[in-house]
Amino acid sequence: MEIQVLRRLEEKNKADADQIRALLNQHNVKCFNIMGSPGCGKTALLEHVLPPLQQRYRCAVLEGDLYTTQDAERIAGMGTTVIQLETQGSCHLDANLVMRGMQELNLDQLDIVFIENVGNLVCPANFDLGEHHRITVVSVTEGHDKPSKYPALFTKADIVLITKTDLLEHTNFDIHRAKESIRKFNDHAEIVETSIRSAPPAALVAFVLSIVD
Amino acid sequence: MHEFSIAESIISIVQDETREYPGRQIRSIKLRVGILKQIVPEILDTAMELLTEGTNIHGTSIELETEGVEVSCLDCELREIVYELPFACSACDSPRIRCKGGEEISLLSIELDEVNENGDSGTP
Repeated sequence: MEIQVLRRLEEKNKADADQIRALLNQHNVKCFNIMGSPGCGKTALLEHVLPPLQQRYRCAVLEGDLYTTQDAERIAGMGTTVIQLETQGSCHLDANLVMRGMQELNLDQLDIVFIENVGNLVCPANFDLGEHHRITVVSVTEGHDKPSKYPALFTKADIVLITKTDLLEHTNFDIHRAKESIRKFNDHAEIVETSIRSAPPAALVAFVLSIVD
Repeated sequence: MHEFSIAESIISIVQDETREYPGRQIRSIKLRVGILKQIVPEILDTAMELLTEGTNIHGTSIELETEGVEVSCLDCELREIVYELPFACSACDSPRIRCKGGEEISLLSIELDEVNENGDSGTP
């Protein structure tokens, strides 16, 4: 016999994510999910955007990592509240794990929570974490074909940062083609070129401020 | 490797939907998968096999129906549904295309044996 079902597989994670969003909204906290491959510069970006944001807003970071607390220690070194979400080898965060992290935070005392996802171009895209906005990071050393090969990470991004542009001359990365590829799947995201070596990521700070101000 | 999370979701929905039919072997599960999900069928099969050992779901076959992406070209009038990741317009080769859909994954139906391991329907 056959049972007709038609249920979305994400329904449980989506329900957990909606619960997180409701909790955040209740405390008037905005949440940003940062995604990108290992080494694209997610932690480095946080190190550069937290100081200017913390002048006016109270920030915390949920730090997703397969193992080790190295990234969390970098963020904690800046005086930011950081909760480590160790996935024990799993390649992405899900809303259930993020909820546990949120419960460790004193949301009454916060304005902004960043979630640094596990470095991965495929799996994190599939999991709504209850964030309000998605930040996708791709570095010039990864190659301009990555948005075409891993479109899901870009479809729901609100801002895409192309990082390490100071290394452009040493790579064959074609910024125009990269942007064109991002646009195929996302015609609304702001696309920003950035290099923390030459300048702080002002566009990302401005984007976050445009949401929380 | 999100196939393991997907397998866990499949198992949970199947257990929920077949609660009225205890002990019946699940024969097949039909899914509709958007191509942007980038699911590898072989890994999903492995995940299902590992995670269902000792249950009535073990040994089930997974049938995948692919949900394509709707492509529209900005340089010609072409609109089409494609079932592989699109890199350029298939008519004029322009890279200026816009893509929609292909992002969902749903469990469509479950086929199970008429009787349970005791040879009866298992229902009161």
